[in-house]
Amino acid sequence: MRSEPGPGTGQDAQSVPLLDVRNLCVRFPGPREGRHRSWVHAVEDVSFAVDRGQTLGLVGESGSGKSTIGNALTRLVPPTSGTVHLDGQDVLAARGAPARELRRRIAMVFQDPYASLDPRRTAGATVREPMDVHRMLSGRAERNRRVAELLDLVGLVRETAARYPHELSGGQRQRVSIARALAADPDLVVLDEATASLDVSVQAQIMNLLRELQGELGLTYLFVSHDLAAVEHMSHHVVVMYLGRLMETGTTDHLYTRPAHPYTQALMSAVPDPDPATERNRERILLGGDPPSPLDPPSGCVFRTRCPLAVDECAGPVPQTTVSANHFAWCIRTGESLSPERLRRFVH
Amino acid sequence: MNAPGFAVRDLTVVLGRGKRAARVVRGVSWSVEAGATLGVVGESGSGKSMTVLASAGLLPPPAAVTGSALLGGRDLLKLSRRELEGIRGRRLGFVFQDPMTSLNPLLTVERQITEGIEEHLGATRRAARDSARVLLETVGIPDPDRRLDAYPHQLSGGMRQRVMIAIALSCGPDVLIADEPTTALDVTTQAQILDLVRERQERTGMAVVWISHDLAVVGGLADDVVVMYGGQVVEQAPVETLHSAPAHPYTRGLLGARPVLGRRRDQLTAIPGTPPDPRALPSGCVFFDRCPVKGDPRCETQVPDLVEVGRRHFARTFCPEDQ
Repeated sequence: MRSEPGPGTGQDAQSVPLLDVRNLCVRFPGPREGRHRSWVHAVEDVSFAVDRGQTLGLVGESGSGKSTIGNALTRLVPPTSGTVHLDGQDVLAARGAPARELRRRIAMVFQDPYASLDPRRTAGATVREPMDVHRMLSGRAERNRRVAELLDLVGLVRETAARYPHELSGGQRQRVSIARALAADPDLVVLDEATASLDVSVQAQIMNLLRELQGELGLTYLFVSHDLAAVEHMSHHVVVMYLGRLMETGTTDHLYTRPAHPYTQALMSAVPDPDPATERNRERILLGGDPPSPLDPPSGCVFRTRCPLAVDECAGPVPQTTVSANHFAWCIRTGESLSPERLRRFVH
Repeated sequence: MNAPGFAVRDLTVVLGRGKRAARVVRGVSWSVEAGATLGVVGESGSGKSMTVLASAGLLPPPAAVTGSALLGGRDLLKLSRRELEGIRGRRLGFVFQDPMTSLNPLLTVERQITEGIEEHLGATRRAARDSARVLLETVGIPDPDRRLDAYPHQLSGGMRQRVMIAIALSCGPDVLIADEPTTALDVTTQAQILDLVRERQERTGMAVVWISHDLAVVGGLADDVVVMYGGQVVEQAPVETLHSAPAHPYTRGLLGARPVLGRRRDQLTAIPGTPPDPRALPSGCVFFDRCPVKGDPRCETQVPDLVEVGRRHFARTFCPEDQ
């Protein structure tokens, strides 16, 4: 397999991206039938890169493998093969002190702040923990001072340090999670559905906060989400996944204005428009059925079983095709897929 | 005007007693006619689900429910338990957010669909199985014969939700109440479900009450929308009006807070703070703490009435935005 530079490497080919993921595969053991063990192909041959200070949106539906990628980067799950480099250093091969240092530089914020915060620990202790673990700053007093600064930074009053999670609202809890993620002074923050469980009005607060923090601290984000509008709002580049495979990658502007892969097109057309007049009159591509089982994915393009444009050749190898500079689609029908007459046959 | 398909009048729900009493629904009224769809929008704790659960007698006794819920001229809140059981599932169909917790894991799909058909319509087992097969087909489940014998865990989330809809539709209800039925589903599956309900409604003329936290989801579905906040209806309007000329500062806030596909903005207009605690409600306007307008001296001290601000358009605010 070729490993073309993914999105985010930009025109400046000499610069090293902050995060460089090549040919990542993650497989989980599935049920055993006799002597044969089947495997769940959660992530198959995924490559992408993110430049420092940028946000890469990783978008897909359930079972697309987007969360597994975030978990593999932080080594919460072991990758089967492939490489991950942070600032040129091999994340997966590192052991001992260098591994700890790399782990410090990659932080994570999860979807559900109810589940990801320890209910018996104050917000202050939670935010301080990464500094304790990495033996940062000299002494507790200084770390506590830093905790107060971090709470400030995420828009919480300093008194929050003494509170337990059950005393906080969902939005406040997610702010605590973000403060904890920033405590060890990371370069990369993996945001795994970080706004998904919050109310709409609070989601906006958190998205605004994340963008402000990025501007202030030069953070790099991997924004993992099923929400296409949120990804568009947050990201410089976007990776669209389906059943563990790359479907399309590109700059946000390109990919959202000219989606080239039939799956991306279907996904976008499924998002309801809040304007009732637009919503009632627009054409939509309605996909039939459900995604196939990751235990037994189709040969060739994994989307072909639901694709309105599928032909026999889709069962063969899937090439990476260039849509425009920094915009790629994994589809043999890239380019022709956009013709409106052709699509109209499938629209609802 | 036709007789309303379903209406709640001055519905109030109080959970608990004394100082810890939570007034989760406070004098809510709305109605939906046969063949029409009402969208009920609100964030968590707004009282949107409590309203419909209470109206169908689905809240256990500690909840004190007053007001009325009218279906075909009868007040459901005055019926005996047995009379209610004859109506729920027969004339009122329900679909909830999480099909995994609302389906019985120990019963086959067939049994869960046929139960209501046999009970309410007096069908034989065989006739009920035939209807169940047809229902699965209508809700777009491939290979219905095989699926009838499946258990919920053997189905995908989208398919489970379709089974829920098949159950809700099985006795040809007058009213379908759908409480966040697509929130747990993928967006492509959501599109399938929205389409399915729309199509069924066109064919049967049932009334639909669609509850959602997302204004966009009800946009293409609802005729009228009710926006709830802190247990009250804060705005009510035809869906087009609500989108083009929202009058309540909260509705305007909700519309500005959500990023919209293809319309990128630098900043989302977030609503600061969090919704009020139903145990400690403010004495004035329920949105006062978070309101960017606060344009009237009464805002802090007096609860505004739901007043008409335009044609079929009502808002509970002292400071309706210019139309």
